[in-house]
Amino acid sequence: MSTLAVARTNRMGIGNILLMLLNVATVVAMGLLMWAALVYARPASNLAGDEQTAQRIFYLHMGCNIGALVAYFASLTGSLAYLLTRKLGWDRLTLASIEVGTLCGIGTLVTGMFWAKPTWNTYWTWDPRVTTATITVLLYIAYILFRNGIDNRQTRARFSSIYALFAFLSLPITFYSARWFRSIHPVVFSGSNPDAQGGFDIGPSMGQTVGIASLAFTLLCATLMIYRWRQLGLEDQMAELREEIE
Amino acid sequence: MFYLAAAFITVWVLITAYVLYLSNRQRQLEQELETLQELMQKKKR
Repeated sequence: MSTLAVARTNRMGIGNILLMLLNVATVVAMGLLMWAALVYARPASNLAGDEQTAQRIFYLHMGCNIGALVAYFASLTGSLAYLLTRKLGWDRLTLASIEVGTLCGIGTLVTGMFWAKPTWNTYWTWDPRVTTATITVLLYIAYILFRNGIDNRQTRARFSSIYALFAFLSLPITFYSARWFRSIHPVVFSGSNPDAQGGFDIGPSMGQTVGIASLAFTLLCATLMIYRWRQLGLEDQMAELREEIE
Repeated sequence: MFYLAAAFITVWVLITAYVLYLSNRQRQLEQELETLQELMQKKKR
């Protein structure tokens, strides 16, 4: 009965109206991002040929990166809140945000590879930034796999939250890797490492496009996280109901 | 142009794949819910 009531309330209410508005905002923002990245942003005047065209990948790369950052911060919040309150809703938030963050993390790596080929003349190099970003994504994929090995919901939530807290430590390491080590990866924000190539000033249309990309991917991640979080809630309630029946 | 197209297509494929995964899972859950409802009704009888 309780599950049915939840299923019904999921179809109505102010929460759903807000979610619909978020859906619309996400679709509009993603459409705007496509236009801005492909048409509005002026081409980089210091580049030519394939390298100049591939520079537009940066907007998606940055968007995915911001999306992953937002999602991983949500996972940090979820795991800390679960350990403090022991409410499973926070654990579901952690899982939902890690799934979405990993999706964006993979997007960041793949767009980076397609940008690197015309720029660095290779799809892949063991650059400190690229390597630490890959380790971060792998750590979070391991989180998803690790969870599936524990049956008890509370035990799973406790161990997963502790794991997620430690996994989050890889984020500052990734962020600072291009600053601490010899890296060929561009340092976009306040870079001071003279060895890091490609620290750049961007023009107004490029800056605005980066802003749109950040907003669009933040909205996209928020929407996907909310949907997945609600779905996980329903899964847990159904599991409880199944246990009751059995 | 190839790299630009490849990057954009890959990101959209990733997003679409995740949305499809969510909608498939939702459909599965709805089916499970129906099965549970039937089980509960049988138990009541």
